Amino acid sequence: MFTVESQRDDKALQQLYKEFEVEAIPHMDAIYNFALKMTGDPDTADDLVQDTYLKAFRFFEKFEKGTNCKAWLFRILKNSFINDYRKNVKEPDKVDYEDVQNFYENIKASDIKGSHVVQDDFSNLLDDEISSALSSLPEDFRTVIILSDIEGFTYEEIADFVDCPVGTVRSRLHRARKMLYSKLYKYAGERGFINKESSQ
Amino acid sequence: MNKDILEDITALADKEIRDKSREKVLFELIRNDEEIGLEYEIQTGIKSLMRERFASGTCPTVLMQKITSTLKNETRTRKKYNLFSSGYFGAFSNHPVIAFATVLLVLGFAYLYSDTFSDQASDLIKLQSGENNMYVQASANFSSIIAGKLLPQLSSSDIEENKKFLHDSGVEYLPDLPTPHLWKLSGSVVSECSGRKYAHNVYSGGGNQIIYLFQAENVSCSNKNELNLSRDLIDYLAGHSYLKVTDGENCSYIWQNNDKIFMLFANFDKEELPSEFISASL
Repeated sequence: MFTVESQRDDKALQQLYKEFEVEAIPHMDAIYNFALKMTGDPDTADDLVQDTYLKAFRFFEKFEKGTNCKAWLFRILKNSFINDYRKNVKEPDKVDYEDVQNFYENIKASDIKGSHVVQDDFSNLLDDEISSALSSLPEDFRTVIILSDIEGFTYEEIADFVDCPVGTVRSRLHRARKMLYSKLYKYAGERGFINKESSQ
Repeated sequence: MNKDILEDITALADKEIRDKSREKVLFELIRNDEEIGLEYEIQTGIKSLMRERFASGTCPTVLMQKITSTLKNETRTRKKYNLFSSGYFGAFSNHPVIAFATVLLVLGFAYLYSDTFSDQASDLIKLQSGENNMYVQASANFSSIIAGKLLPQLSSSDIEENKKFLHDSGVEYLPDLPTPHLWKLSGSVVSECSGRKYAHNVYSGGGNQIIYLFQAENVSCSNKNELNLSRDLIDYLAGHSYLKVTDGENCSYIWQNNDKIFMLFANFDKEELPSEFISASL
């Protein structure tokens, strides 16, 4: 019985793989990038990407052709991450949004007005430091930053992906960037990159 | 500062403000209000920083090759999965499954005949993947048994003799061997996965009825590096007597008792199976 079914599906399977190659494989860089940013560990990211693609292939017949394959892959990855990986990922110290709020409200606009604060003060930070700051964000906030700022998804796509209203995406992005800013500001300060005089 | 305005500034930085008049108002605010100007600078600055530093990340070539190779092999194996080589028995002894055959066997059960499953059972079974997965291994082993390519290492109907064989072969847990009235124990096989030994048993009955039983400790099934099962399935088993999957004439039951998970596959479906095997192991 299996034999009959499998032989019947041979051609369909080959065709399916060809379509998968065209639709899904080109997004592997973005998927890997996202996995790496979510897990913070290359080995775990490798496993997560492999699982994602295997599941995607298994369920590719269910993918609605002509819709956003990249978003579909991200959704599979997110589910795999939540179900199988999140519990194993070592979480760095999380940023507390309340602390950020206090910090942020204490920044005087006049202190930095006219400076290109992010570009100037943060440009010397290492990628690892920026990565670490990103990893320190709570998962929901980290996700929207990655999807919006790194992967270039629209609010609507992100809302679909994380299954929340567009307004929530906007709010999370707003807060996520504030949190990142405060974390990077701290790093830059510790390394002597914050130069208030030059920004007067 | 008004929260809506600040969040609109975020949307502006993301070019998500559709209303041109609103956009104009916001740019006006950015020019005239220091705090809003700072907000805009931070939002756009962080966005640019993230894009500049991380957008160029690429998937390692080795990983990409590994994935495409895995997928290609899977399509090949899916076509041939019913044609295991004669060396398959050896593979079972040392490593219970051939990697890609496994996924396809799950597909065989879960996908091709998904219309015969309950939705929940189907979904839970579809989540099982990977060469270490217990369900994937059990599916492959059952297929080999039915095809006559996998025979018991010990042929005996004596419960104690089978238990001794399993123990002496390195199975560290105490296997439960039911003693059904309708079927007779035929023998045992021991497999190894990630350094641990596992107990498999075969029962038989009239009319070429074959029952294959695979049991492993819960702790092994929860370990991704050993015999893993998806968390959803483990959680399901914790709250239910068993999960039944039917596939034409074949059927399988998955259940757990206090410290072990059991998978039973049969080339027939009889209502006595749960009472004879599942109740006996609870």
